[in-house]
Amino acid sequence: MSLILHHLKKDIRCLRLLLLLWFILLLVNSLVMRSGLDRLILSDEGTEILAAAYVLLYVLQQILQIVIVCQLVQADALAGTTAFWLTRPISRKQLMLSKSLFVLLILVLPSLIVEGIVLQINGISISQTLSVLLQEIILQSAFILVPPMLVAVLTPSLARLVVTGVASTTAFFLIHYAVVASVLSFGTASRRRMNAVFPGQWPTILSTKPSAMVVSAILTVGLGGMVIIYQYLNRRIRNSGAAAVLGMCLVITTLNFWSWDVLKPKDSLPARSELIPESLKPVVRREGTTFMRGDADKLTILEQFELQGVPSNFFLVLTGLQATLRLSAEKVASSAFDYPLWFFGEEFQLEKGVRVLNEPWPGIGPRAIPLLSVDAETFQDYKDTPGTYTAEARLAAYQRLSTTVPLKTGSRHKSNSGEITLLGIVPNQGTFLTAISNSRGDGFIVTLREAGVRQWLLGTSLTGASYILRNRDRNEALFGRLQGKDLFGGFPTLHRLVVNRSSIYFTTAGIANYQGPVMDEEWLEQAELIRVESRFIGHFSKSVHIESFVMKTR
Amino acid sequence: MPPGGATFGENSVPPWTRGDFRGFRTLEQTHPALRNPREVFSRLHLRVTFPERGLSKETHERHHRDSRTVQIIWPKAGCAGVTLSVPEGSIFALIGPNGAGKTTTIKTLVNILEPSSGEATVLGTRSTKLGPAQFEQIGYVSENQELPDWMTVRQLLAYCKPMYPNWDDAFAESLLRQLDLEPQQRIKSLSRGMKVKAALLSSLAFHPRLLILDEPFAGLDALVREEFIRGILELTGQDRWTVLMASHEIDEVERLADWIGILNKGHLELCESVLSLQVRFRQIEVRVNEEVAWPSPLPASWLLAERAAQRLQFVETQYDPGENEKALRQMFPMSQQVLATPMSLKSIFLALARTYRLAA
Repeated sequence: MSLILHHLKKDIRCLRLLLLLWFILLLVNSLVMRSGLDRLILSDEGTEILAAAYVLLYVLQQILQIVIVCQLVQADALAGTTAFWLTRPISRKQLMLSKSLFVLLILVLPSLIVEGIVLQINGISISQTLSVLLQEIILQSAFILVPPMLVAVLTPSLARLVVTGVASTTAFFLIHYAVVASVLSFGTASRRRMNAVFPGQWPTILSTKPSAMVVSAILTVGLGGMVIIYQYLNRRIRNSGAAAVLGMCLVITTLNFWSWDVLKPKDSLPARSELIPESLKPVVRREGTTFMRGDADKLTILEQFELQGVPSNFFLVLTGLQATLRLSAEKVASSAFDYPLWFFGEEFQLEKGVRVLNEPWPGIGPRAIPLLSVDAETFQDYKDTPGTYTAEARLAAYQRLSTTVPLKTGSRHKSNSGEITLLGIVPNQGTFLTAISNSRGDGFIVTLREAGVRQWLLGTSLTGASYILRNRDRNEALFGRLQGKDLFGGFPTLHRLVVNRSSIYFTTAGIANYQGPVMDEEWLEQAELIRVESRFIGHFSKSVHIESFVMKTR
Repeated sequence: MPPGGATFGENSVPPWTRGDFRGFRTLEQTHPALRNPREVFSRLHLRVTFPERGLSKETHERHHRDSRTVQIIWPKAGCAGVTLSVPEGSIFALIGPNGAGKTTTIKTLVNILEPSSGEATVLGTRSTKLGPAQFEQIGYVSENQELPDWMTVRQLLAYCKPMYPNWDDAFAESLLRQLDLEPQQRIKSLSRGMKVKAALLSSLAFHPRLLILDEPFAGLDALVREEFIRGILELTGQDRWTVLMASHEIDEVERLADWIGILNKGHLELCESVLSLQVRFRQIEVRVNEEVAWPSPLPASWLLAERAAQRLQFVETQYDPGENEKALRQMFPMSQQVLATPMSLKSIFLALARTYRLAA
């Protein structure tokens, strides 16, 4: 153990300057920038500069971390025949353990602690922080560190490492996008949809399937780690190199062809939820059947779908539909849709008697959704044949939680998902809408800082929230139109804290023949801000059964 | 009378004939118990073999039994057939032209390279199984070795010290002074020669049983070479360390080594004590008055036989003062004079190298 620590100390000493720089970047970027500096900067230009500086420092920090890891490995190179340690009394196992300790204690642990502190400062609860940290930071750190470490154990010098690193990254993307292009050109329709890479999304999206991304990340870390350990214990470049190439091919295959949804949460709702799946009634209204010819050989039947009995403070999202149409003893047509289809439930309701001065939020309700997809031949042969339609609709349930936020500049409010700070309230003046309606300034713009957690593994972002300005004395309300911006988020940052700078417009400007009261300081004095948060509570499935289902109703 | 006891010619005068005994260690010094060179052979059973397809089980076992410090037996592509044992307490030099396989041999010994077949044994352990326990007793200095150049010389010593139970601080300090190294100087700022010295310092301070030097003289200037050789001789003289070195600097090797292995294209062509080589190799010159014919066939012990005017020259590889002169007089009855000149190691090596090239 003492020799392991001795080597650890040697590496710390060797990399002390880079480490110091990295620590400074970590502290400045996390503790200074994300812990509330943005609260002091109110102008858009200022926040944009702050966000750009953050991204720049974040990228630098990650690059520096990769450089440190590579230098760490190559300080006692495994490839080549000239390394000092090769003829010294240190075992390969000890060397590997000292390097692993370095990565864990010097790189991963400080990141973990600083991330935890940042989340705490931003009002994220300890339980939420721990659940995020345990699952994600370790996988993310490993995912960032393992590939460069892998290249470093296979190369004898920094120059070769850079060349090999650039070559393998280029090869990875070339092969991956060659596969994507092949699938898009020659694959089946469903495969084409699954593998689509949309313009502007490169290189954020390696795969549109979160499961494939997560499994690929685990494979990268797992296989890469195994090759690194093998190389440390055996020093066989050819074997390790071949294993690394095979691993890369496996990761590309997984990214493109993995179809099992490992992230799919189990169907469950909180025990004492007001939402009772049994009391919900799915209704398919066969009044205006429409057809959609998505692909050459497929025809999709769309029908009005509705879910009755959704409690007023809930809404549901149909996330998947697995449908089967039994046409005869032998003939069965089936299809599956597995992306968000539509929202169901009632509009948000204020107390009775409250007069809404502007337009409420867009409604949700019945909507034509794809019920079944069949090939053109089956449709022609069986379009008038009655069959039995059964489907399993998978639904995500959200609960609306209303809280009142003090209308005082600088006030902070703890919500279920993080912390909200009211940064400012200004009269709504000089906007496009006020200009075209030829009106004076009307209403207010409330600027908020909303902190929350983005969980990459669960594929959830900051839960959406909406705001209402209500005057209790006058029994009047204004629905807010929210314009949010994730200050520190987006590619290439991969941290979990989301800080939204949201401007909420409470205005009647633009409403034709507006006859209501003037939105001025006097109106605002008696107003309160209501926050309506949509909180995900769970998934469940609901069966749909239709007898004598005829594909062509008209 | 110099060793060999024959008439010396004008050229190729060994240093000791000029009264220069620096670096020359007699057999009595290196092997006090073995005063007769032939006895060295009989006791250590040193043999040179040229295995084409590996070695028999018996040979293997015999070499294991005979090995004292280092043994290599492996036929592979790079070194087609090398079988040698290095006696404990000796300075053994592997010499040969560039590309002969010296560094490959050394790197195989210390498990930097793995033999594709066969095996190398160091301190009784197969080279592929060498671990910390063996490296605690092995010092290794190579021209290509990368030292942690961000360290100062003092930090290098502090870094190495915990790895060696036998580390001797006082000895390290005395070596620092002897090798004239500045402790606070960063290794990256040292010259090539000073770097080799620093590597040597870190490889000696723990009193290794075996010191392996791979081309230690490469890039060193004359003064540094001199200091280096003197240092090695003093140190090995004190502790009776075994030294295995690879070099193509024959002059330096001659001053240091008491055993020689000549590698040529991956084959160990010869393995013998320097003294024995110098005893049995002679440059023979026969002066004749008229044309005489070479005996046919030429004796197997003659190399590079050539005629120049009225002189016949060749290298005798099995020189025996009484026997050889008598045989030559019989072969060339008209000879006026027979000169048997002792050869330096460099001359012997060059003669052998030319012979190998001609044979190839």
